[in-house]
Amino acid sequence: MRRLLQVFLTLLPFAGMLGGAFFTNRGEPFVLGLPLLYFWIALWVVVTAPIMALVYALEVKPSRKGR
Amino acid sequence: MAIALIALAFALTLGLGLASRIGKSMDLEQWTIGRRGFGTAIVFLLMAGEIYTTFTFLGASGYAYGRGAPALYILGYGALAYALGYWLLPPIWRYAKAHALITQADFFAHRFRSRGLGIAVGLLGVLAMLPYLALQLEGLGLIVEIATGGVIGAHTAILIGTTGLVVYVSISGIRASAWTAVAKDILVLGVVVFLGIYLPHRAYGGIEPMFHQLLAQRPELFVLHGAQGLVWFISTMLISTLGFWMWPHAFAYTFSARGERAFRRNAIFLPIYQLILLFVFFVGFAAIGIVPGLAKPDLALLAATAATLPAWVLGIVGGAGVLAALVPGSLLIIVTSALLAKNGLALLPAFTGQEKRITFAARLLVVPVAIAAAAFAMTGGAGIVGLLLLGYSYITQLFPALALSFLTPRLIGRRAAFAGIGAGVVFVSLLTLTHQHVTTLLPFLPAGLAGLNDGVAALIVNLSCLALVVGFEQTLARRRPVARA
Repeated sequence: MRRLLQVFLTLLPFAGMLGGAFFTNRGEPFVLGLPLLYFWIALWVVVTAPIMALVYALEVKPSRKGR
Repeated sequence: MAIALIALAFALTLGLGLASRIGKSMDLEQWTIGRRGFGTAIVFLLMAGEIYTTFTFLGASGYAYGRGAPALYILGYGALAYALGYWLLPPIWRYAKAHALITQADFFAHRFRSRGLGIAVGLLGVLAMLPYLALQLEGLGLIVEIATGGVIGAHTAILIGTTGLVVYVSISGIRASAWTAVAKDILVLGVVVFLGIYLPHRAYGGIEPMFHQLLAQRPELFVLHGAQGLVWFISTMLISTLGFWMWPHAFAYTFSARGERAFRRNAIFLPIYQLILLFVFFVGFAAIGIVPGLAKPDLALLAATAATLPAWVLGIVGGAGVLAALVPGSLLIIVTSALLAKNGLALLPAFTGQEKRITFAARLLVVPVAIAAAAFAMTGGAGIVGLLLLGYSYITQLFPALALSFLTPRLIGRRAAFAGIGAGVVFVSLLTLTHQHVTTLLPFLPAGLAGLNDGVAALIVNLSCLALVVGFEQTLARRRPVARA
């Protein structure tokens, strides 16, 4: 279950960045000073970090030897 | 002034590269993968090294300058690749550590119990990496020539740069790449962020005003369309993501980690780091207003800097560019030489079991590898980018066999791996040699697939052949006991 959630989370940036491009393939409106498509890709690059942090937090911490 | 600053950057690289050797005895494991002793920070720098190469410096800004939106794939696929690395790298690292593997070819040879597959994968890696290395050296020549106003020609710069590279790489190995990467990242980061803010302000009065003006004048820069539409964008991103970890040097820095936690943690930090690429795009867009109509879009960053800033700034940019070429270049030379020695020479009777001799050969092979790449860089010209893309398509063909060997360890044998990789590589070669595209080969496909990356089609061929062999083997395995009875 935990694994499944981790995999699902990892797939989110793929779905968001690639799937979302179908709906954001435009210059306007501007968001945070960036044209829409630029904002969208940049947004998902940024969001990937906390998502992967969450995946990491869900990791079953192995014994210390994995360091 | 510019020359002095570039010389300083070069001297710094050379010094750091040589100093990194101090206190370490050198065997092949040390030279190639730092005896699997690198912590999260060093692995971060080696993994991030891929983001800021001369390709980023010149290519990404040039792509934004010349084409606009398609450049976004360069920003996007990195983040996806790091997310994939979270899952892919730990098992690769564990396997390599358990069996004391040093090169990518070792990995394939051991994983599929086939020395032949090891040789084939090694050869494929060398073929794919040479144009990559040549491209770094070509970029180095270009950067130095422009930054010094032609005082040091491109060929002279390539010769000097390659000589320095040969010296510190053969002496220090991957430690040199790691140490010089620190200097490189600080310098490149500073330069890119500064230019990405300054140039738009200078040319358009700010980043947002720049985009507003450009959107009014050149709306096509902000939409994926035509040959580089959404199908192109998505398929290119996917192929780049899968191919990212299949490069032989990616295996090298994976093996160099002290533990698997390094990859998981870096999957969090690296996407943020990747975001700096936005500033590279800003530079490219600002250059549209500063130096419009360049015949070579790849020169956009340098030309815009030369047109607006004093010579000493150009010198710093040039120095950063030199480092952006040397650091990835050093890793590529090490890994190419190690492959040739460990998975080529080592199979000859004179080298079998002679650990010292193999290490010595690897460090010596740096010279011919560097000479070949430098000669390629000076004579190859535009052909190099084409070969690099071909290399990317080749190397990506390793992905299905590798990934499946972890997901279904017992199912994929050496025959299936060979069949899949071989079919993919042959298919890519045929498309390239005959200048065909999937949609011209199969005209019944919908026109919307026109931009589909050839690599995707090759992966489908690859997987089909792999599945065919697996199916065949399974059938045989099921029949055999019956036949015996």
